[in-house]
This record gives sequence, C-alpha cells and structure tokens, in this order.
Amino acid sequence: MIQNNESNERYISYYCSYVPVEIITASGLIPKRTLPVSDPAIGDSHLHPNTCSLIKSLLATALESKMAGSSGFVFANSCDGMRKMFDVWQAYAADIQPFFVDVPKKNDLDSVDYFASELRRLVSNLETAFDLPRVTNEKLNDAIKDRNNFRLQMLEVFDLQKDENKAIPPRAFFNFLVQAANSVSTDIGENIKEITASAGSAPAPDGPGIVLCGNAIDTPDIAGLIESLGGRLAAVDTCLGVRHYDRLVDEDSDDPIHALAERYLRKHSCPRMDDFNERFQRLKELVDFHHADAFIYTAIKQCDCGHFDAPMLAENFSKLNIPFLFIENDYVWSGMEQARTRVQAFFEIIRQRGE
Amino acid sequence: MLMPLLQQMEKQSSFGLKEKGDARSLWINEWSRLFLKAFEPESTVVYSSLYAFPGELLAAYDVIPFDFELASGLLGVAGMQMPPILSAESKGYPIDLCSFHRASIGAFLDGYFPKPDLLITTSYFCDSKVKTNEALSLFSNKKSMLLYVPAEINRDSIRYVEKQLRDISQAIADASGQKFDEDRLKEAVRSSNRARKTQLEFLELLKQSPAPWGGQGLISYSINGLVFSGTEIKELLDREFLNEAKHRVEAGEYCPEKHRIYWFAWLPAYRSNLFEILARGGVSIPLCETYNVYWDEIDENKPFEGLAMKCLRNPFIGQTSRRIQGLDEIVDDYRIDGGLLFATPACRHSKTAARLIHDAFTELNKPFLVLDMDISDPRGYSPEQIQTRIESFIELLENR
Repeated sequence: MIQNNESNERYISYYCSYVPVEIITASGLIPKRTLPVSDPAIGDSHLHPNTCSLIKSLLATALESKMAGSSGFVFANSCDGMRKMFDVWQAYAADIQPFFVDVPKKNDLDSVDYFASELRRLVSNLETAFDLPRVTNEKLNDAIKDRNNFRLQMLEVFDLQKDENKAIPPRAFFNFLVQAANSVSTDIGENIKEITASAGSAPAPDGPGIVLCGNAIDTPDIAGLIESLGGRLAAVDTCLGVRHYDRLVDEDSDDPIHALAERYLRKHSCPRMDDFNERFQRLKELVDFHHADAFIYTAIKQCDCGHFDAPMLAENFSKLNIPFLFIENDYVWSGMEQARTRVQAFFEIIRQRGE
Repeated sequence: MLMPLLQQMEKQSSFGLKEKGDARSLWINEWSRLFLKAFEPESTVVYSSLYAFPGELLAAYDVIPFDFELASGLLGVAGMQMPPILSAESKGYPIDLCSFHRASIGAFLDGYFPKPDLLITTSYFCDSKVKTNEALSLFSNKKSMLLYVPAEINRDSIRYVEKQLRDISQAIADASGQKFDEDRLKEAVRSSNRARKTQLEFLELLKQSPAPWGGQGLISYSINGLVFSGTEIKELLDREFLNEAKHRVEAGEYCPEKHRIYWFAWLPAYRSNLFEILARGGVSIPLCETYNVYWDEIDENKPFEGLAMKCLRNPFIGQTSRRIQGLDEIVDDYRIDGGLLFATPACRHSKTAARLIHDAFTELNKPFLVLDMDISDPRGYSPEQIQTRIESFIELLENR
C-alpha cells in the first residue's frame, strides 16, 4: 500500500473512470472517488435544469459542502454536460479546486500521445496548486503497481459471477462495487475476503444471469431488483463495474505517463468513446464469458452518449438472439416500481424462451 | 423526400434570382444545387459538419460536402421533419436526444439522404453529432473520421489537430480517388482569408444603428453559409450580402429599432412567431455569436497548421468564458441592450452553463433571456408561451 507521508492527507476527488488516479497518488495526494449524494434539483440553480442528474447531483454535492475534506476535484472531459459543469464549478465551487483533463474520444496512437501530454499537464497543475515535490517516474511506477494489484484483485471478484454456484448475490455484489469505489485505500484485501466468503453461500439463483450495463449506476436498487426476481448478476459493466478495472498499466515503464495514457484510452470503453463496434464485441464477450442469459442496459435520462448506443445494442443483441432490455433512469432511480414491472416482464420472456 | 425539396428550392430561388437578383436567392440557389449534386451517382459524397469542420480542406478536392444536420434543418423549414423524427423514435432514439439528430437518423434510414462515400465529423460542437455520425457510418458501412479538437491550445494540441487534418485529407483522397493538391488547398485558404476580410467589414457595418441587417437572416446565414467555406461561392455570397446591407444604409432603409440584442446559439428550423414578436417589439439582432470572426488569417504556406488553429480557437470548444470574451466591448461597440440564448432541449454544450453567460450580462446591467425552445421538433412549441416569454423580455428592455 502506498504511504502518503508527503501529503498531509490531502484528498483529491474525482468521479469519471477516465481520471488516472495513479497520478493523484504519485503526487502524494489521496484519490477519493466521489459518488454524488445531493438532490440533483439543487443543481438547477446553477445548471440548466435539462442537464444530466448525475452532473447536477455532483455540483449540488459541492455546493452543499458535502465534499468536506476534498482539496480538489479532477474532471475528465466525459461529456458535454460534465465539461460545462466544470466551467460552472470554477465560478461557484472553486474552494474545491477543479482540474480538467481532456480525454480524446479515439484511442489511436496520436490520441494516446496527446492524452499523455494532457496527463503531464495534470501532473504539473497538481504540483503547482499544492506546492508538491516533483512527481518522479519512480513514484508513478509505484502508484501504477499498487493500482494494478487492486485491479487484479477486483477482476478476480468479477470472475466469481460467471458461475451461478459461486456467484455473490446481486445486491451484495453491487454494494461491494460501491464500497470499492468509495475506498480511498487500495488495500481492500479484507473486503475481498469478506465478500468472497459470501460467494456461493446463498442458493444458486433460479433466474437468468444478467449482464447489467450502463453509465453511472451508483445505487444498488436495480441489482436488488434483479436479486428479488431470482436473477444472477453475471457481470456489471458501468462506471463502477468491470470496465473501470479493465486492463493493467505497463509497469516499470521508462515513460509511465505514456503507459497510463495508453491504458486509460484503451481500456474497455464507455459510450463516450467513438468505437461502438469494439464496445459491442466486448459486451458480447462479457455475456459469453460470464454465461449470461440476457442483457439489461440502462442510461440516465439526459445522457446522449448512452442513449445513442441503446438502439444499436438492441439490434445487435437481437441478431444474436440474446434478450435485451433498455431502461432509462434518472440517476436516483425514482421510478423503481416502473423498472420492476419492466424487469419482471423481461424475466418472464426469458423464462418462456427457455422452456 | 429531400431531393424533391431541394429541387423545389432550386426552382424557386432561380426565379428569385431572375426577378430580384438578391443575395438570399443566390445563397439558396447555390445551396440547393450543391446538395442536389450529392444525389448524382458519379459524385463522391462526404458527410461532414460543414458549420464546424474546416470546409477549406474539402474545397481542395472534387467532392460534394453534405451536412446531415443542415439537411435536417431544411426539412424542418419545409415542415417535413416529423416523419423522420418519428421514424427515429420508433427505432429507439428517444425524445431526449437532439431533434436535429433524430431527424438526421430517421431521414437517413428512410432513404431521404444521398449515400455517403466518407463521413467526417468533429468533437465540437457536441457529443450527439459524434454519435449520430458514428451511427450513420455503421448504417452505411462507410469509413468515418473524427476530428478531435482539445480544449487547450498548446503545442501538443496544435500538433494533434494538424496531424488529424492530414489524416483526414488522406481519407478524402482515398475515398475520391484523387491526389492531394497542395495548391488547391492554398487557394481554398486564400479564398477563406478573403471571405474573412469581407466578414470583418460586415461586422463593422453591423455596429451601425439602426442595424442594416441581422435577425433571423444573419443567424441562419452565419451557420448555413459555412457550407461554402473555402470556395469562391462563399466570397461571392458574403460580398452580395454586404453590398445589400451597404445599399440599405445608403438608402436609409431600416427596420424600426428600439432595442438591440446579442444572440447566442441557434434558431428554430420550423415556422414560429419568435422573430415576428421580436420585430414587433422593435428588437433588432445586429450580432450573433456564430457570426464572430474568432480566428486569425490562415498562413497559406502552413495550411494544415492554420486550419488546426482555426479549429482550436472555436469559442464553442473549451470554457464558456470564450463565448463571452470581450462581451463588454461587444456591448459597447454594437450598442447591445440585452442577450438571448436559444436553448434547444438537448443542446447540452451550449446551454448547460447558461448561468455564466447570464452572470456576464448581469455584470453589465443588461437583461439576458434563456429561451427554451426546440430547434426542430415542433411538438413542444407553443406560440402563446413564446409570446409571453418574449414580451416579458421586451418589457425588461423597455424598462431599463
């Protein structure tokens, strides 16, 4: 585990999976993934109301001073809304100093090279803002090894879900993912021991194995719903799910910044990236590898990237005869009972197909 | 469906040219003829966001540029946008997505549009455009190129954008079977620089009060006129519009003007009472943000680098502060009394941070209106609501 003796325990918050946390760690700061908790409506005073609820909730969390202890927030250029929220944050929530990292939508070599330059800029900005000693390659490589180890441990847990006799029950599994996201430490061995001990402890579910895919699902409601209907959470591909942990960074590189740029741009993507075919192929592999029976895809109401993928995913999965359900959500999942009806009907369809 | 519309536009504008010889008829005529060429079997059609992507590069090749968004806008003007919008929705593209993009997807799938040979898009202005382009590329099984333009302007970003432009140039060459001709690109750049000069002259003229042009026509041309970037047609159109405005000044032909506003973002593609109510209230629009000249003259000897800088400087990339840079000077120079942001529902990049633009106007003690109104989908359009909002805004202008 990395010791942060130089930092005086300064936390730097972030949300997006494209933020390279190793840089924060190597700077001597503590990365803290912040899952927004405030009512999105509070963000309406500063953002146009017709904005993604996750983004509004994030700003509201800052405005309500619920990010106590955070000295800064690193924004990735996740989407139009997040980028513009950064602008508003600078004006209205700057006591939590914002940093911006531009993330190309492509992962070719030129884009990786450019992203590496952005990461160097982030390093420099953090050093300057907090008057930190220079971030050396050695510190970066240490942080990379530490985070890689964390990823490997998490991926082992994800692997448990492919076997219905060993799978962790959906709600517990999802809660573990949230716990891992909230953890400021990469030392989660105890948490993993605890959760893997519960693996296979419940009777094998008699319902379908589901790949749950989407962007920001930060509450366990949908996972709990799947569990209540007897389903198995075969895989979770969300901002907190398997794609967040996918792909290791090259260790002991002479250019760890470039290694980070390559990993972050080339890990399994979310819909903000311009590579639908690659993404679909990978999601199909998730279904196959985790012995899933069906696919539930969900997107926040104003998430353009997420919504554009939905019809193409539906069509492609239909061609493969894999049942597909799309549910819209409002980040806080206020429409759970409507979702329940839909998921129930979906499970019925799957059961009838199986008979 | 688009082809008959374009044919009708060509016919009517040809008549207008004969009868009046006005700049608008010339513009519509050239535009309709250009897009009609895209339907000819021997044309190499390049889908591109012509109001964003540097058209100078396309002008260096014998290709037909086609903008699916602007084409959707034409459908909206003709009242033909609902069938494709509904078609896209029936295929799973929800109402929360931009109606321009729903219309584009529906129109493409229903066979309205010419077939592309290559698709080029830009990361600006919005995510939706990138996703629509990606979808159309997958539907047509044709190569797509994305020009990603970062928010920061530095040596790395200039190099990155320049390299991408070179790659895109190669893709155009491959798709069209033509060789890259640097002289043609240089000529396109020279043409663009000449048009830029004319635009600057026009911007000076628009400082006059009453404004000799502006309003719906200016906003529309500032976006749709970019179809001809880097070509002699753009130079001609700019000069014709400028000459008409100069003539109006000489002849003292002005619309009544009591208030002057600075317009942000877009305008509705369908018929509405918006501009009529503004005109009734004596509100003129002598300037819109989409008509500002934000880029330097391009060095024809370094065209790719120059075009990269032009892209990077776009005010819609980077922070919102770029859109309001120099606002105090603009307000003084153009005698601006207030601002209006046309906020179509799904246009996240242009309206999410509207508060900051509002703050800038408040600091200058000028009223600012965020007008929520869809750009292309008229289902939510209520003339009464628009009237209420605009008239209240006019009252604010009156009471200053």
